[in-house]
Amino acid sequence: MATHRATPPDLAGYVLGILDPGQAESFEVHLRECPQCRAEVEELREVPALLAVGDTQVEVPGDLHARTFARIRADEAPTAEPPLVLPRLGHRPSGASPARSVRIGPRARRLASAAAVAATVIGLGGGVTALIRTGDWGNGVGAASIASGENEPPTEPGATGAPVTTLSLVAPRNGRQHGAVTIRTTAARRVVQLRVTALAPPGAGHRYVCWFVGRRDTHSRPDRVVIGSFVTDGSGRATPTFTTAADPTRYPLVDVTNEAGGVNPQKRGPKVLTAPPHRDSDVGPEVRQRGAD
Amino acid sequence: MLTRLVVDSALASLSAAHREVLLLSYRGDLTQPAIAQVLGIPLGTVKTRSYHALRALKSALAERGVHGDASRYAP
Repeated sequence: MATHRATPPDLAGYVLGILDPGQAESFEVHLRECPQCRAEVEELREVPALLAVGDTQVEVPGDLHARTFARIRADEAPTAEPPLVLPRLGHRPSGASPARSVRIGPRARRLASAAAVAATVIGLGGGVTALIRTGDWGNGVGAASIASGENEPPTEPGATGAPVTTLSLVAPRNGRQHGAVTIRTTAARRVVQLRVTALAPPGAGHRYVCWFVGRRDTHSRPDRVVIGSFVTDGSGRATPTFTTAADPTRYPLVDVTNEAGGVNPQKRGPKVLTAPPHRDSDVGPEVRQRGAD
Repeated sequence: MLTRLVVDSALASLSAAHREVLLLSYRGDLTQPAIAQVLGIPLGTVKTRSYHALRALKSALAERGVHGDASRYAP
């Protein structure tokens, strides 16, 4: 008879039904020999089923989404989407107590990509649905408007209520490049989703840098912090997601510039996208467009 | 419906770390390695945290008068 002081690490995964089949079988072998773990599984096995009973509007920790998107961004490859979660066979705790059957809610989804993880995490909290809803990028391009929070879904119980801001981005001097940025502000940081269109690749040794910009920023005296850098594909598109802890009240605007390579952008590159109308006065003749037309 | 509210209340009473690991594993349908990847924490931490989160939720449910037989509450 097996006895142990510490709880076996796979007990919770077994109860939650998220072990892979091999792990589950191994744990069931252990269960047959261990009354201590059998009792524990018996005690906890109802809990996941009750989780299925709960609503989906429970508040999710504020920065979970930001961390998730950060992970997704780190996992993104330019050419292929690597599987983050391998498909696995359904497994349910079954061996511990054959006399009792626990109904566990359907979980048919099998996630195969980072994007699917994002969708899952987004689905966990009412508030973050806004991120997706405002992700309708066909809307408002070139509209020269700042729509703060207007795309948020109706207040729902448990919604985090974090403000969502959508900015349209246009090219200085009426270029055809355009884009949109959705910024979700949480207690911990901002999650910034950017989509740009018709922006030619930045050129060898260059990259685009997306900035949060202070209201006093000028080309000669920059007042800005980096959100993130990216390049566009051959069709001129990119849809990067960034996270940042920059203070929303300190840097209310967004710009995209073309910067020479290297680790730290020099804050001297030409502006290729900007949020109108606030930035128009800053687009002086000294701002040369490169890789933008 | 009452039970839904109770379960949500019990979930909301957990620490953020416990809540997110449970939501990701059950509602998110993620494997533990995937949860470790998403949260940026070691796999072993996911496993122990999941266990303590289950325990905490069990206690929180019991405090609210919800015990056992989930089939009675299933949607």
